[in-house]
Amino acid sequence: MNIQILTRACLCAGVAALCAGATSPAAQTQQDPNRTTVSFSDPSRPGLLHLALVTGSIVVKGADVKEVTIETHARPAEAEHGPGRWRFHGPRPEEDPEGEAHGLHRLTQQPGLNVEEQDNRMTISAPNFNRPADLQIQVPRRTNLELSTVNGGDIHVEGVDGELEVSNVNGTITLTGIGGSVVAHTVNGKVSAALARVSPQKPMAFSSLNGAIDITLPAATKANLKLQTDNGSAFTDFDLHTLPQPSDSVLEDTRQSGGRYRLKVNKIIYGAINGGGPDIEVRTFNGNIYVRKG
Amino acid sequence: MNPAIRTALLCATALAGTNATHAQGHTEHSSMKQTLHFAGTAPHTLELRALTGSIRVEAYDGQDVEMVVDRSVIADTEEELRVADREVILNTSDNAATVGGIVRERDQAACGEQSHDGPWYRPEPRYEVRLDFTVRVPADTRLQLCTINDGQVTVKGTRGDFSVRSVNGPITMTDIAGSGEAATVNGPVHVSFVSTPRAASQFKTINGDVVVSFPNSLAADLRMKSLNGGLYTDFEVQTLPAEALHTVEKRGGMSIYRTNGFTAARVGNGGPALTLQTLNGDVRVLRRAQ
Repeated sequence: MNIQILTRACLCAGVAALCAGATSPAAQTQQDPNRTTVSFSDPSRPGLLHLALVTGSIVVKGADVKEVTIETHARPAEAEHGPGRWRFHGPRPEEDPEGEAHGLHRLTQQPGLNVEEQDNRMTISAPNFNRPADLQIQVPRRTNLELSTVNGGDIHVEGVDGELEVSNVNGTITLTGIGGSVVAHTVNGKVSAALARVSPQKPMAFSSLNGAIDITLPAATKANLKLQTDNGSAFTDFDLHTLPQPSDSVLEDTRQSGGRYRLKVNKIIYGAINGGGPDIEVRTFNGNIYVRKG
Repeated sequence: MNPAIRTALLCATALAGTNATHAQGHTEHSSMKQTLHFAGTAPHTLELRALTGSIRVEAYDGQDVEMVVDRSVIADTEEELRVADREVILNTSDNAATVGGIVRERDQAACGEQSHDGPWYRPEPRYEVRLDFTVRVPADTRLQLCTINDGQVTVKGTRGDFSVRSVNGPITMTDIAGSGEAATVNGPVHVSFVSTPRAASQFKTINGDVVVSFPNSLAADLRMKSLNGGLYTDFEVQTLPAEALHTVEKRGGMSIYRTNGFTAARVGNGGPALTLQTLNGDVRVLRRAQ
């Protein structure tokens, strides 16, 4: 589920509370987040936030604060299996084959949360893989991030300055107002990244399997771009000076043992912007690539 | 427990006894009926601690505790039957504020007791002993019941507080009052109250549903959790904010915080904390049928 759908579910739950009045008081407070503040052990240095979910979405926002504030949003049970079913109703038939919960309200369960902090490294995890955990986290602006999720959620990072490693499987990655360096990968979803500042000499990578990649770099960024899309096109408004192909063509010759001869030439666009610099690799299988001048 | 009153079951008045040899070994059945008397001022407590076997308790109009114990022994040989008689003992207590029976096997800890150090290795007994308790108690008796294997616990109509524990077996409490704890590991927990619990109470299992019904007048704060199941109710509830992260441990520079994962909901104007949790199963909080 993406953020838009979550918002819609919240709206719907709110409307349900208004409409249903006293008949569904549960709806009125379903969206109350569980908010907690945790400090890095040395707030004077940038900390590392490591967050790995299996099911759920992640929103991280940088702010002029010294502590990390974590909000856990319990996702209404109905939203766990699709939007548009907002009312507090019973379980799906497969969940209640004997009809024991027929006619009952289903309550949304809290996903639970574990947080560990040591040597300025904060690790956040949700212990129950079955419960979607939608996390909204506020961090000091200078924070390094390692974020990952697998199902049922997008990852959104805003206003953070640091080294970012962001990984998703079934969902998008959206990074805005980022400073520093980024490695972002998803399998099914779009990767969007807008960097206001890039760390010099730091290579970066953005990749997806099914989804476009849209990155915006400061106009003065010095980098060597490696752009590859198998089913799509690459677009940029940078002045790209094509460089010789890197020697990553693959030759396979097993004819001596009755095998075959195979030469695989990668379809990589390789070029320098602003005189070249560290590599920025942008790769997708299905989708366009956009490299924009910020 | 009054140590002076110590009754080996076979030495007690056996109302019925059978002895049979089966293809797989020897079996022995016996039944004992005993009336236990409360002494001292109320509240009075029934304490039963079994190892293997069911416990069935029902309230009645009398003043005493009427206890029937059915004992079954299976052993490979006649000698092992006699070994079982010596090694598996039922200690009963009478004429006290707390009466009942405790089953011990080879002087080991009874159900619910802290196990004490014993020999690091004991050969497995070559017998199986099962004691099933069927008990009638005055309605206001407090219950302290514990069993482990084949441990179905059934309670009906009591009004006193309760501590009911099993490991392998369901717990079913019908038309009860009071407050306390009902916990098992493998089996569902079904409880129906005729009046709302006066104090905090807990209903737990690992594998099975937790289904508790209350009168319509329930006012309580529910704390519910199921790892692989749902939470359901037909009461009007107000979901309370989740319990905040709390520091679990600070060790060697590492701070660990956890939430307990409970979903909190208020019924009526709130009241005693009622905790209902399972790992594999649903939690259902129901209005009692009128």
